[in-house]
Amino acid sequence: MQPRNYIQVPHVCTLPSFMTSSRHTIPYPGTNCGNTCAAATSITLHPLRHTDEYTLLDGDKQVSVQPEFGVKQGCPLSPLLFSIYLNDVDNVTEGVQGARKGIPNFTVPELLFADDLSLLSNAHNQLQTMLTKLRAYAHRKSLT
Amino acid sequence: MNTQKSEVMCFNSRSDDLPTLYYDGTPLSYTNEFKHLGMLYDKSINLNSNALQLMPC
Repeated sequence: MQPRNYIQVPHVCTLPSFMTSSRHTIPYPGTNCGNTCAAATSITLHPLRHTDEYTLLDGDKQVSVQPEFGVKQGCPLSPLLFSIYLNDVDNVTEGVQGARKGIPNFTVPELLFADDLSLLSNAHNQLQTMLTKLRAYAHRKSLT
Repeated sequence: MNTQKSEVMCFNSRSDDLPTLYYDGTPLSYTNEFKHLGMLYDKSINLNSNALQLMPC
């Protein structure tokens, strides 16, 4: 398919799915989490494994629960953990042509901020390739 | 990934017959406007929609 003079952009929301990832898929210290930040990830994720959380009613703690999925709501570490966990998400755009801009030989394949991911391309088939690779990535990271 | 909250926008296209994109077999819907990091973009890449949204009632 010939590249066209428009840009297609799927905006993908990832955070709600991350919230459903089992905490047992998050690596313990000493395990290989498969990315370059293995050591940092293992250390920073460790406090997640043994936490007591509570349901609140009118601000009062009611029932103690031990959630097994996702990051801790409201914890300052959660955005950092999420960023580290998704550190290699740009692999889905490797070898795929992103959206061309005015600068020669310069393309923008993705925009990533926190849990928002936008994939960009001038060609439909390139974009579908990115989405297919993103599906495989999500499956590998238990983000399904 | 949340396909319910994922959308596709095609900038500068006048065609109504755009190819469907799929994520895990689920077709992603096209949209004419999308809010990204608090800013409202529309498919013609002008800022009118965003300006209207910011104007006080």
